[in-house]
Amino acid sequence: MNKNEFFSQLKIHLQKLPKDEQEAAIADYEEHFEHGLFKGRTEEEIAHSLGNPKKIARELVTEYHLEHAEQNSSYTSITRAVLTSLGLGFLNLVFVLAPFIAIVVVIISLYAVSLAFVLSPLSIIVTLFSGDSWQSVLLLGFITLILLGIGLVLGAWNTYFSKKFINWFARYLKSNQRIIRGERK
Amino acid sequence: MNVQFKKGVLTLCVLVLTLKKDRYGYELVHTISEKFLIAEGTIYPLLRRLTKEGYFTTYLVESTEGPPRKYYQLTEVGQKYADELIEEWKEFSAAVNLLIEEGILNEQK
Repeated sequence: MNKNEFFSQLKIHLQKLPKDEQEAAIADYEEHFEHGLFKGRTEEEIAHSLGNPKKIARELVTEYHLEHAEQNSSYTSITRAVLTSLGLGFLNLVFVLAPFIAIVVVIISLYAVSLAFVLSPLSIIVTLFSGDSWQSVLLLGFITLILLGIGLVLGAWNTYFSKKFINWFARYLKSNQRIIRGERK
Repeated sequence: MNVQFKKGVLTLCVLVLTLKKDRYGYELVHTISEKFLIAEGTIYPLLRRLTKEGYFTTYLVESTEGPPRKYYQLTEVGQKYADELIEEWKEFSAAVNLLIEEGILNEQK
């Protein structure tokens, strides 16, 4: 593989990164080639000892997503970080994907419960036409209003919890990466 | 050498090499690859990460001899991190060496 082939491979696999990140990474390797050529090595030698550009790109992309997930905790970036981590090893599937899915399911079901509670006063409309006594309609009204309150509190708490979770999970992914790399902490 | 193991150790090597003087990318890669076999390309993502985490700052120097050089300089935080890792490494390698020696002794019995 010569210099051109190395860079075209690298560029193809770096496309998922923002332009400035791509350029910064490519500049590092450009510099490396220049120094190597200056020292009298051939392009093929340099490319060979750098290693597979696809693997290099994958490493850069993973590092970037991990960094990114920690900075702004949005669902999309954390999902992407999860997916790239998975690319690093099948073993990781159990340690990353399983807790992630479990907690996301919990969050979604809590939202479903709070939505159901918030919407519960609507059931009064149905009872109005069912010919029940006004006392039972009133009782239902009070109960559903309480549920509405609980639903709102639960929803707010759930939003807070999911934000915490995203932050925590980004940190977990990072430490998981460190374990994979063989570092402690 | 085992790939994962080597990766972890690479961080330590890079930090140790920059303890006493700033070094540029090619120099770091070259110095390490003289000692043991690595995919040289993996050092640069490592350097980028350590820089982003605030352990390094970088500056560019135009060289009269050869291409421009991007130098890596340890920050105060980087210095501390390096010291920590060196301590950890010493404990770890001492323990492993001890286990190896004990292993060899048992073999001889």
